[in-house]
Order: sequence, then structure tokens, then C-alpha cells
Amino acid sequence: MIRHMTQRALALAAATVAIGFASGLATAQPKLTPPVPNTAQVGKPAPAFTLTDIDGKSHSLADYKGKVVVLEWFNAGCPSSGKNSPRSVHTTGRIKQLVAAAKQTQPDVVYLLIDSSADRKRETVIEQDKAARTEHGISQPILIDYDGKVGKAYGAKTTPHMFVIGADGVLQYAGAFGAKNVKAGESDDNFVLNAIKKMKAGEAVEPARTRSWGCGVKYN
Amino acid sequence: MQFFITLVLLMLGAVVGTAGADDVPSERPRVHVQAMPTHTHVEPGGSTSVAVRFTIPSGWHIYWADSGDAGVPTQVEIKAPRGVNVGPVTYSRPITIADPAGTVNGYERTALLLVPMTLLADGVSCGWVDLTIEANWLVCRRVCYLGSKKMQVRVKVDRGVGLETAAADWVRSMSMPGPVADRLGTTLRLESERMVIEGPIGDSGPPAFLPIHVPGVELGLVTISRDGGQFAVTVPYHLRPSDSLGRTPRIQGLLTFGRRSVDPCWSISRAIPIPSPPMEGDHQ
Repeated sequence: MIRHMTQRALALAAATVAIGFASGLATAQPKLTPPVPNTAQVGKPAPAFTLTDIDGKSHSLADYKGKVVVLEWFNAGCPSSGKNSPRSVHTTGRIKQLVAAAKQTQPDVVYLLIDSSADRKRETVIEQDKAARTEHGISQPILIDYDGKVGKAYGAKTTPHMFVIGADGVLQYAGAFGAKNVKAGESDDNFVLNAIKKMKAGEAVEPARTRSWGCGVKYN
Repeated sequence: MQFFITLVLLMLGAVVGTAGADDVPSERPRVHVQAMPTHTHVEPGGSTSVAVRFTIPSGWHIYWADSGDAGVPTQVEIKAPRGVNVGPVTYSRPITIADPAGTVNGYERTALLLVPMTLLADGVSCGWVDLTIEANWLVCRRVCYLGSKKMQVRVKVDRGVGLETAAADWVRSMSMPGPVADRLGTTLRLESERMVIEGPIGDSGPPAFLPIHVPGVELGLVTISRDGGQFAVTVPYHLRPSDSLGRTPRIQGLLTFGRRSVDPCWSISRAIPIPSPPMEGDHQ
């Protein structure tokens, strides 16, 4: 079975593969994308992690066992994410709306932001995240993943990139925040809230995999 | 000698390493956007196009219709009066660009989005048609900025054939995809869980397939083979209807030759038949 989390990278890599194509017409049989070890897969246990937030507090995924956990990849310098801009999910209030609606559906839902940015010094990242927290009134923890290990384990590509983990620790949703990077006031499907509602109703999460959009995660 | 080469490489590595943290551009880049009809006028019932050209500062990039591993697609939204049909938008050929998050598809220096428009014969009379075009883009280098520009474009409606404008030259200077069916000797067929494109290689370099993501359609590893002057591109796919967001499954993308943004490319969009569920009484 093709694994969605690696689909884009491999499909795009195919364009590069073309440069060195082999001789012998149609000798190669089509291959399905092999699963990449240690990369999060919908329907499988979410990768464990322990990270420190911008206030120095440690958070382990294991701490939240039995609760639905939402992870949002975050970057204070990205105009789709933490930077003040007309289409930022924070500036437009869409994250606040999501958290409020999620808590109505699942009161003990845990919402964590993770910043894997390493294009600036670690202290600068923390300083800018703190400023963004104040600017946007973010009340959830912002975890620092400076070496990018957690981001890469989840296959986080963009900010925002969203993951919803069920109370059983299984990854239930991976992908976009919503269908489009809309402005404030424009309507949009919220895939994360949809996933939480489906899980609450005991239904299969559909869609469980979507294409995320936003700035690329600034891995080291 | 080997020692000196190693030393130079180490020094270069140190310079690159130093340039990493906090080396982010501080000034917002200015993307210049222009929109212009490709003809001086269009007849009632006729067709023309509006070209939207993006000029991007050196070192920065904006994104294609499928941005790849990261990014936000560049888009134009057009408001046209009644009697004028517009779209779908055609994007000039992108290039692939390395990104810390993976590989992205986009444009450096110049991008062109072409908006076809058709006037209904009995819907628009001679005079002027006013279009409102809003362009939105994300421009990135090490940091990203959102950009937006709203433009008014007037298209003259008159009898006779209109002459080409400078915008027609913009179009000619770019590689704009035509339908793959128009490529001589090239065939495309859908088989069970794979699409195969075959044809002559030509002079522009090796072929490649640049996919456009369609919800609910997962693509596997593309294989490309050749035999003399012929190529075969095989694109495995797998349907996941629960992720389709209600859209018709299809394989979409560009068949490209060569690696430069001006090299030829051909658009592919093929609907995938959904296998019907087995009828009651069918035996496996």
C-alpha cells in the first residue's frame, strides 16, 4: 500500500529519477511507494516524543495518553502560521476557533504547537515564538524541536501542518488545517475539527490524509 | 595536493555553515505583477487570453499550481461580467527547487499565468469588457512573504481580428503546456493501478513527470525507461476514495522534457474510472 506521508517526496523525486533513466523499454515494473521507517503513518501509533516548550517545561506524548492530541507545526516567521498576515491561521483567529470548537466536542483535547525552525539561533526562535504568543494570544504550549527529529518523524512539511492523535495513541489525521489558505471571514472546511468530530462519533476519519500548505518547515 | 583540496573544502564548509543561522533576508521582496490581454481587441463571440506575468527578484521563488512538499500555489481570481467565460488558468512550466522540507515546484525570475476568455456571441456587444484580476502568491527564500495585487484589465470588443500585443510575446517567451494528445507519436493509457505514457524523446532532453496532487489519488514511484529514441513513463497510482473530498479521481500533471523552465512540457489530466463494487452473487 502506498504510504501517503512519503508520497509527495517520492512522486516528486520521480521527476529527478527521470534524468538517469535506464535502457530497455518498459522493462521496469511499476513499484508502489515503500513505507519509510520511523515516519508517522495514519492508522499506526504516533511517534513518541519528549520536547521542551518555550517556557522550559517538558512535554511527552506519553503524558497525554488517553486524550486526543492535536499537533500544529508552527513558525513565528511564516505568514501562513505565526506571522501577522491576512492569511495566517493565527492572525485570522482560525486556531482559536478550532480550539474552542474542539473543546466543545472533546473537552479534554490537548493542543500543542511544535516549532522545528532551525534557520535562526535557538534563542531567537524561542524569543520570536514568545512574541508571537503574546501577539496572537496563544494559550497552548509551543514546543521547540530545534534538531527537527520530531518534525521529520511525523513528516511535517509545512507551517501549519496538522496531526490528530486518538486517545489510543494512533495517528488519525495528517495534513492541512483546512482546504485552502483563506483570509479572515472566508469559509473553509476544517479537516482537524472534522477528524475530532468523527472520532467522537466513533466513525472513521475521512479525509484522513490531505495535502498541507504553508511555508516549508525550516529544518536545519 | 589532496590535502589542499580537502582544506579548501573544509573552509568552504565552514563559510556555508556560518551563513546558516540568522542569515535571513531582512527586506521584503518586491514581486512585480502585470496583466495584459494578448490581443488588441476581440470580436463578439471570439476568444482571447489575459496574461498575468510575475517578475520575481533574484534568489526568491513563488509556487506552481502544485507547490510540492511545501508552499502555497500562486493563484489568480478573475471577476468578469456576464457573457464572458474565463478559465481555466494555465501555468507556465515550473522548475523544481530544493527546500529544507523537501522539493518544491515553482518559479524563479519569471512566471506566467494565462487566463483564456471567451465572449458569448449574443452576450457582449462592441465596447469594453472590464475584468478584475486578483493575484495571490507566497514568495520565499529563507523566509516567506504573502503577496497580493488587484488589477483592472480592459479588453476591447470590436469587429475584425485583433493584433497581438506585447503580452503575446510574454507567452511565447515561456514554455506553456499544451495537451499531451497534441504531442506527435505520444500515447497515454490507463491500466490497472498505473498510467503509461510512451513516445519519442525528441531533442529537448530526458522526460519526467511532474504530478499535480489530486485528493484521494496516491501516486507511487514513477519509473522511466527508454529504448533508442523512445521513452516510457509509468506512473503507479492507488485510489483512496475516503480522502477524495468528493472529487473525481484523476491523474494530473506535466510531462516535461529537459530541465529548464523554457523546455517543452505537456499537460496530462486523465480521469480514473472507479471500479464498481462487486454485484451480489459475484464470485471472487
